[in-house]
Amino acid sequence: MKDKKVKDNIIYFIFTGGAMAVFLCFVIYPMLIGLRNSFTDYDGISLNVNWVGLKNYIAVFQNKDFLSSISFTVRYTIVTIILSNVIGLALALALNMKLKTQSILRAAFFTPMMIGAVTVGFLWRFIFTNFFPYLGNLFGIEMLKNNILTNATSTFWGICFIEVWHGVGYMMLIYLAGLQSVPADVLESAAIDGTNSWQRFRHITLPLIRSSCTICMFLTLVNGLKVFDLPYSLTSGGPYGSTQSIAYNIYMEAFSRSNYSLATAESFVFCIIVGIVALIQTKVMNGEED
Amino acid sequence: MDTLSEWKDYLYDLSDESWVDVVYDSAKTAGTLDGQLLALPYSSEACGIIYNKDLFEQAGITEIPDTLTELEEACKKLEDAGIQAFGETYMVYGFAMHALSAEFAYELELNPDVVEGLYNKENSLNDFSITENWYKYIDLTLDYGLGKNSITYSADDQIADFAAGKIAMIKQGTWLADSILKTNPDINFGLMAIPLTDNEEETKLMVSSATNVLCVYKDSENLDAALYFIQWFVENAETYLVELGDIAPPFEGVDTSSLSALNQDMNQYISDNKAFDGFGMEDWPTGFTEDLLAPIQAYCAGQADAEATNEALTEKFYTRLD
Repeated sequence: MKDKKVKDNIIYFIFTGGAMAVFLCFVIYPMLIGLRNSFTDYDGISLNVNWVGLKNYIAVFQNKDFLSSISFTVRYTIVTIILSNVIGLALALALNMKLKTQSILRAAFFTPMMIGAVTVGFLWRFIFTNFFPYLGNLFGIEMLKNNILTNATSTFWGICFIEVWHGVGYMMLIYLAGLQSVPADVLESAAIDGTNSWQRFRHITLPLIRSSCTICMFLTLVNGLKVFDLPYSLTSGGPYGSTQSIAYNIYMEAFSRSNYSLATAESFVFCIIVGIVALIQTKVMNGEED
Repeated sequence: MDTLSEWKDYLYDLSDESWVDVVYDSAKTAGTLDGQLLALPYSSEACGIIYNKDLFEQAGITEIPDTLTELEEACKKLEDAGIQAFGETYMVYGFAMHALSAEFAYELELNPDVVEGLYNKENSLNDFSITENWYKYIDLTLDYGLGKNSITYSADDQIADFAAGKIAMIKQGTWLADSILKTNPDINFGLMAIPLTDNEEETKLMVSSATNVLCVYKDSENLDAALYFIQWFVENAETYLVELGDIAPPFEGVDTSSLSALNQDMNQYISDNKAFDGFGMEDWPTGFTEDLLAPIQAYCAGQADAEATNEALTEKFYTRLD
């Protein structure tokens, strides 16, 4: 028995060894170096490096830009989670009704997902800055005449809208797969028993697609918290720094301002926040799955 | 130069090299730290307003505006002729940074004590004597330009529009000559200083000789080869920098007559003694160049007035000084 166990372990090790090595080398090791750097005043270049203890971590919470970027990222994540999931589920429900144009519609809704995030940002920046005002002036629509990206509130909703437009196809596919695994006979018998479609949806369909919900919520949550490409390509963190996401702020801190050690401290704080949130979310939803 | 002090542990002292006497004094000062010449600056660049000579002629502007009032008159004439006078890009920090450094360049010349007070955290930007005029200048670039859309206007769009003759003036510098000429080789342009006062004696062009430098790694295995390269580089500056690179090197005896009109205008300002030595931002604390964008964008969008913007900028300046 013991020989077999050892042999099994060796086989497992051989199969996972390659991936583990890469993971250790490119993820864990840099993380540890970064952790050590966050306790120093290293600026990315200088040979003169001093140990400063927790000074960077204290500075993280005093840094107004970092705190406002947390505020933006949290609001953005909440809005995109709600909109992506609701619209994704609605589209999936619509497409589940065996329409004739089902495959075409599925492809159409999924297409935005295939465009890279940076391209999406540049594309929509052109539309917001040049195309909408042009349409506004042509047809006299007051709302479109002003450049959306010059106002903080409209830029926030614009960036949320673009992210939802971009990612909803993916959510839709996951929900569609979940919906198609709901047995049709259960729904039929419920219909015969006299329930209306809202009751069927709430008490039968929704519980049965719990796992799809978990996955989608998790994806939108983590993607929302980690967002970088859109603020970078669409707004460059503007207008006046109001759409700087946490990742964007850390990037600017490290590479534009050469404040390397503060940036590593910020990224560890960020990592812990994301980890805790994701853990809570998975536990809550997994608990409900049973 | 703040960057120089970051790198000084790695750099070889070039003070005793054979070509040192050929380099202009102002350039040498920029590359010197603690008495050692650690970097060889090889380009002189000027920051000012690039203007389209043909459009100026169309609007009936015969003289280059030397004062703020003349600049406003020029803008009005351009507007009457149906030409967009300015087209500023305040989307990324780079060009807002140049605009703000103009204020420092002027104040350093007129009231260096006030600027020193800012670095000692005693003054704020509101104490700068030139700040009111600076905001008048910014207002001109916005009112006769793109207004708050300047926040989302990208530099690439600006180059394309200027080269196509849609804008009369853009606050930029000699570094854009190449890009503009590539887009439109026939453009007839020139460079003028940003006027921030009504006294034409005080109007000067911001010229820096320390924007691009060459340094040598002091522990290099190929030290001799590197030093020989620099010697060759300085001796052949005319071929490689002027003719091929369209760069004006701060070396004596180099024939710069084949450079673009922008560099010629820069040289004219230098020889007329109407050039600031540096852009005014050389001593800024690291990180301020990015921080200044948000308050300036807020001002352009009309979210904050001049005083509040100055306070926000000062606060960011103080934070970075630590």
